Amino acid sequence: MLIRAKFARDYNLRYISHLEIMDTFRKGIRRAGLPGAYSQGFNPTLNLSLSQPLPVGMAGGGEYLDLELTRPINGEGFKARLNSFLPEGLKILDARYIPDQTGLKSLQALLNRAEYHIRARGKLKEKREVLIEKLMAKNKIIVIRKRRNKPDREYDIRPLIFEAKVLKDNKISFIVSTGSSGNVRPEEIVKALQTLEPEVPDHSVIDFYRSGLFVEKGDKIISPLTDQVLEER
Amino acid sequence: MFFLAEVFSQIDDYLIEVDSPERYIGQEWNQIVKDWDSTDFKICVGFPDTYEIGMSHLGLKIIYHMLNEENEFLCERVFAPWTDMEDLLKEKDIGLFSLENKRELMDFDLLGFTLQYEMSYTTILNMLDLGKIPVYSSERGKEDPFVMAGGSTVFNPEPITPFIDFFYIGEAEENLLNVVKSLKKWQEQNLNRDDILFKLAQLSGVYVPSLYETQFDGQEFSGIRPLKDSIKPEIKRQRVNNLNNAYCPTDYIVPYMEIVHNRAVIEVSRGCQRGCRFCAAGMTYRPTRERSVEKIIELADKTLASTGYDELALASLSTVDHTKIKELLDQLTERYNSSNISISLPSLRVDEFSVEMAKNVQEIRRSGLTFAPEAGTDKLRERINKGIKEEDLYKSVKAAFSYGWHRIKLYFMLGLPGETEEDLLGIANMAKNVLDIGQEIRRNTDRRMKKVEVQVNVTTFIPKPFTPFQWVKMASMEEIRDKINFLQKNLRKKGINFDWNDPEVSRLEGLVARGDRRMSEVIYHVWQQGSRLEGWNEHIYPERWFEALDKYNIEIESIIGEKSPDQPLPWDHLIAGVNKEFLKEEYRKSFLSEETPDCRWNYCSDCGVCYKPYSELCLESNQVIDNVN
Repeated sequence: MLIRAKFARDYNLRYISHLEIMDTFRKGIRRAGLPGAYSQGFNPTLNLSLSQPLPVGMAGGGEYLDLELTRPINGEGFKARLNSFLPEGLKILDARYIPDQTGLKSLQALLNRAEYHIRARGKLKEKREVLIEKLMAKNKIIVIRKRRNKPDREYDIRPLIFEAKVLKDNKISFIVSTGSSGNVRPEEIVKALQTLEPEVPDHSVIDFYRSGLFVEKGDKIISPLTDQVLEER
Repeated sequence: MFFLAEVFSQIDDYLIEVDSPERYIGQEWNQIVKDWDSTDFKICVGFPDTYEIGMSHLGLKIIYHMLNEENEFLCERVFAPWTDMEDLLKEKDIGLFSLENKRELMDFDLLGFTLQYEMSYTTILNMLDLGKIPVYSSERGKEDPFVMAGGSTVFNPEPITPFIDFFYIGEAEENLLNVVKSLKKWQEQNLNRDDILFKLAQLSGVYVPSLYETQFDGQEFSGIRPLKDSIKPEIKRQRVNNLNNAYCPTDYIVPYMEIVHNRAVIEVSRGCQRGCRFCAAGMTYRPTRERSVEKIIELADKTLASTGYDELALASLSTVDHTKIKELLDQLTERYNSSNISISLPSLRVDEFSVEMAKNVQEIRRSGLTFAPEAGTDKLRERINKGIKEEDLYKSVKAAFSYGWHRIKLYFMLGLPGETEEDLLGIANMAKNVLDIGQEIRRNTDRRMKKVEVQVNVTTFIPKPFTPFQWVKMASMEEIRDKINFLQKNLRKKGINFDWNDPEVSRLEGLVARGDRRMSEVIYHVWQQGSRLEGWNEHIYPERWFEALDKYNIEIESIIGEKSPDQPLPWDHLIAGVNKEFLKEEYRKSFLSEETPDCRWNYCSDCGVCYKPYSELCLESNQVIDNVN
């Protein structure tokens, strides 16, 4: 028995770390008296897992959690109940009860696409249309990835960028690969743009927003709450 | 979208550059944010250390909720910013702000500091300055908030008197609300600052230091007296008589970040009368008052439900001394067993019963247990009235090892009056014997048991105000260092770890703890040199203190040297409860290694605290009291 829920971590709580978010959910679930299941062992904790960690400083609008249950509860009920026990800025948007989780992939294994919004500044803001067009026209874009205790590595990120478009308010959105099958960090998108236009300034984590996480299906990206994802085990 | 106060919106984006930005954002579950403009009287409570330290402090939580219960007030929080945040505030010219409405400290009507640790006083000055409030009371005007302070080190307020408009002496639940309401009323009547301070000085438990003057005979303090006849010569500590009826919140704020004590806390009793002669808390928080088992359970239920914590700590100076501790723990474990809530006992006595109790609540994950024998021999322990015998410790650790604990921490003090080499050898022997006991149990057990570890921690004894040792000379740094070296040589053994607190820092603590008004210049000077956050090793520069003492021509011995029991002391104008005759008698008895038992199970020691028969003070089982005065 499982509840899978979509949630948002708002701008006001962007400085809370991934582990602190986990802990906030655990306490909220306890306050709400929801039937979460506990791990076995010396230090029983609620069996809760979250989608890929959001970096400190970044808000997210389409994050996910899985909570194991001891008894069934419907999605709408879970959402309403938990929301009244969470601090402002952390909100369940949608929830679905899954009676049998046999064969279900974990969220982090399942979610392989992320959409980021970048608040464009400087030259990027000025030339955003042209730069995006150029970026998507390239076959290969090499960025350098620093690795802890290992030499830097060159890395072609172009195949991991699937879509780029200009939004209003000087924002640009990108759909990129995320997770173990290839991960693009939003600051690497800016690095890629800098290879095309050196005057594009560095952007910091607070210029990014993760608007959603998705599962890739053919040429579409879909939510992990859909029947299509849940039925395919 | 939530409301961003102007000061915060200017700084919000830059918080990504500072360490642990969660310290500055507030917005935790159970935080109370009232409407700024429609609330008449605005209070901010400050803790002169970082968020994770301050949010672990129970007193601050009680005051925050107690004041916010009143519709006419709003009460917000502020903690000391870490150095990176301080730099950022200065760079952006933003005043230190509260966590709730994000207002600069200068915008409040009243700012109250919690005093917990002598080395936090420079941080108070720094927070005032960062909050755009004049550091000296004498420089504050109509537009500035009143600055008050209270807490466990308030029993010698003298070193910070020029910076604090008024002190509240004692327990907040008793009279603080009345004090704050009076202040609000007088402010609304548009009385000027001096008139308000004069009126405040008439209230019970309030000390307005600017209305008193101190006298000196050369370097020696010779007295303190009010400047006017209409000002009370003595200020009496406020205390709660019945803990069951005292205000106690249950909707505590739940921090995001990992704070020092991150759990639900219920104060099961207040005060301790075991009468250890070095212990300031044991003297100034008398008498022992207990919450009833029913009340504790009611508070625990509500607190756990409202916070979502899965750990419950039973706090007090000596939790297992609660007269119904066994019944309480039985009921709590039964109640919370199925809801995955663990119970912790933060303070353990050195006896088998305590270990038994700890075993009962800690069914699993037994790793480390801490005991504080304080001194190395029975004789010295008798002298300090720490009524435990070496055998008690061995019985306790034997029980602990056989229940599965494998790490024992032992706390001792160095520099106690009358300490000899024999006492130091005693510390080493106890540590070795504990290790032997553990290793033997490990050899003979068929259970899996981790390697036995004994951790020995020593700190320098500081003779504190309102203890029977308040007249004792504090041991010199050289003396303590020699003793540490001696112990280091004698504790070299696999399985024993030895650690100590810096004796230089203890010396400074002693100077501030026992200091008179002259110390305020030293504190100001040290702060001016850039010191703050001195509870953190990386931020303390002892040489600044010694330079300042030199500069202001203050002889160290005039503060922490030996005093005669007939000599005036800088805190003589405060009435903490225990009377001076009792302290003198205890001091005298210490030379004879004569013990004074806890009056709850024995005869009355005539400490002067009970103005009511003891049985009327809430104790869970009154029948154990045979002798009340």
